[in-house]
Amino acid sequence: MSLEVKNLSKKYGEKTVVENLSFEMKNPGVFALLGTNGAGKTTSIRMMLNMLSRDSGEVLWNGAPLDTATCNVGYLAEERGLYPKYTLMDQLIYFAGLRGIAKAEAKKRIRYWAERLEVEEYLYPQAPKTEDGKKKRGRTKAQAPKKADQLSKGNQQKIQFMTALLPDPDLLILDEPLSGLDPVNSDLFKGIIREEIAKGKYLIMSSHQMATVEEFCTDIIILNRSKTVLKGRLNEIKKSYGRINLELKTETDVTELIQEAGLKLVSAKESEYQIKVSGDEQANVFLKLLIEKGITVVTFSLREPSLHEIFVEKVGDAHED
Amino acid sequence: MKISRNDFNGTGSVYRFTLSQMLKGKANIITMLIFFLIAAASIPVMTLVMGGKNAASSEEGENGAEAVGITAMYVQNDTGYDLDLENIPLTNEMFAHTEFVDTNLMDTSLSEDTYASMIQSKEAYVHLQKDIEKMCFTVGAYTLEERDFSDGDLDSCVGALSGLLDEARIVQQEAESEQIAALTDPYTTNVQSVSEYLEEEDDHFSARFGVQMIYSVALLILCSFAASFIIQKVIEEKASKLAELLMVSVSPLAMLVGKILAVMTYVFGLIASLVAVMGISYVITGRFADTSVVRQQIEAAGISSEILQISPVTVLILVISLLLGYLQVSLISGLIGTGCSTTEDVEPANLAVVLLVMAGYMVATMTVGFGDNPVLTYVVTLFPVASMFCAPVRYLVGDIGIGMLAFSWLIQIVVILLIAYVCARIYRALMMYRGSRMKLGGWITMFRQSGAKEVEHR
Repeated sequence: MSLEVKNLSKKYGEKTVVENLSFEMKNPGVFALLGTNGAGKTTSIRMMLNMLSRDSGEVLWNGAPLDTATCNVGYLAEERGLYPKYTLMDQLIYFAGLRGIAKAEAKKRIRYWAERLEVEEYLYPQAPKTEDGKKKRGRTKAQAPKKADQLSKGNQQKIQFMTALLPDPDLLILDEPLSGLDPVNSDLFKGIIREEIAKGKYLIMSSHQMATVEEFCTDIIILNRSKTVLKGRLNEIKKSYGRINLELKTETDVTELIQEAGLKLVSAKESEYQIKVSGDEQANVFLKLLIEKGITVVTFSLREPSLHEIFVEKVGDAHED
Repeated sequence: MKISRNDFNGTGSVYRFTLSQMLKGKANIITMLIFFLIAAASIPVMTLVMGGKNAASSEEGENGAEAVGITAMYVQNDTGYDLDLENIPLTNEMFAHTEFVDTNLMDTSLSEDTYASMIQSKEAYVHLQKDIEKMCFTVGAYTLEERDFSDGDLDSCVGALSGLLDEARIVQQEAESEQIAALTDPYTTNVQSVSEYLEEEDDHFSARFGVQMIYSVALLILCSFAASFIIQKVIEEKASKLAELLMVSVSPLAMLVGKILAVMTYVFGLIASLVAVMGISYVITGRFADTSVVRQQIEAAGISSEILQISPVTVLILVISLLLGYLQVSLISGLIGTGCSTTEDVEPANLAVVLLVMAGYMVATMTVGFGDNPVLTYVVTLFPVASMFCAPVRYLVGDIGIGMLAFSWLIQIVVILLIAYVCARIYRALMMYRGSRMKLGGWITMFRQSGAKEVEHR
């Protein structure tokens, strides 16, 4: 299986919102679609899924135009929505039915995902128990089927995530999947995303949470003001920057020494320093200097830039342009 | 822009879900119950209000009578045949107390008061004519409004005169083929009071107006219901931010068609159920009271089965016309509803559709009296929106033929296809549209843009 996005462009009047977006996924994994607010991420996704017309370009799945007939797509939209007044079970069966899943099979899958996403109590409300542990007779309000407007935002998001997972999609597109979730639910989502990756699914993720993207993604594309400013495999991009972040911990204050060595001090807190270096060579020279000065080095760690730093640098550069 | 079969994938799921949610909705359930109660109660209430018991007792008395209660029948014979009127009481005991008198006093220029002074409450005029244009004989019977005999008595006398006329025709004609045709020419019978006879033209207008009103109100209610439900359903999805979630699984056209079919099933099902409930109510009420008064009252308003020409064909014509009207309004409602983004837009969107439908309704009711103006009749029969109100009624009252009705339907089908084409072209963009309620200019711009992109893609 492969996904190929070729030269997607979109204009609203004179304003270009996406300009020649192209990328390719030849293997399963996670592709990150990153960008500033209004960079064109959601518009690109909508164009990929034929929700918006394209001015130019094409999206191919296994060489054929991507649509519901050629590809089993799961989509968690940025705009979260559920019917507020209909029961959750009715809605989930309906959404599954739209994907051609029979009612009995849909119920099985809903049961599975309800357990995984810990929303059973809303989909299968139980009768409250009396003091002696027996279930109360008759249908109580607690047993009534739950509707979307009775759920918290986080739980609604779980139900929406479930709708994306119900068809067991080959291609899963997640637009800001973790926004608005508490750390516990965020971990729950991450666990499921990891499982989907392990199953060999193709994932496209759009997010502003760089740490999360870095955790999952193999390939990235960064958009800024409708244009692609960076594209490629995350590891290679990082390697191309080299190890430029130095974490230093000493027993004495070395602030003056850092300045003498011409290094850029990013932050300092009780003899723990975050320093920018130009590369391995400059770091080695500085280490040698510390040793010559008889300074006890507790920690000396060199690492590549984080995705956050790359993103800020790229988008910042583009802003300056 | 081509519409393919794939565009309708998922229509069934949308249809089933929308219909099931409509049937589960508490507001809809309460509305249905109220309607059913009204329908069930309407027949007994109408029967009671219109005095059903009196009608029943008078019918019983009539069945028991042996001789007719008419003392004199004044017969004006303009048929050209000699009738032996004096022989009737001699040959039939029913007319032993009835005098058949040859007269020539029938004249519409005379006033109602003049007639009232000339005949008594137990007397009647009968006018026998030969209508050369229509190739038939007419037997018209006229009485005072306050008469002291039953319809059955009058029918018996008219029947006796008709029989006498038949005899005279056979006697005076030799049985050649043309003569046989002349002998078997049909005749129609008019039983009217004198005032009814004088106001015949007014009654005809009342009947036309009544038929037009009944059909127009039915269509107006149907369209208002449909517009309200469809706009509500469409905006509900947009306001709940469900458009994207749904569009990844089903085409926008399938979403709209599924909804239209679901609302159609609901509304038509509701109407059919109400008619069934009224029918059951009519049968049950008939066991306790004389329900014929309801029919008589409707006929008194000028709406008779004769005017409506009720038959399976006319029912089919009405159903097809209602369906075409429904489809036009529901597609327009779907488009207007999708041009809105929030639930606050439901009311103005509804108003826009209702105003459009009201325009058709007004045209229909205001022009129904001008049946003798063929140009106006053709315009209102063929012009979109007005045509869905006018065409079937103008056919039923005889203003237009089946060919013109079929042509009107054809134009309505073309209108439906055109709106469906517009839907297919811009509905996807409309579903994603966020902003204030779209105005006509916005529609046109969106339509043009979609057309331009189509050309570029080619």
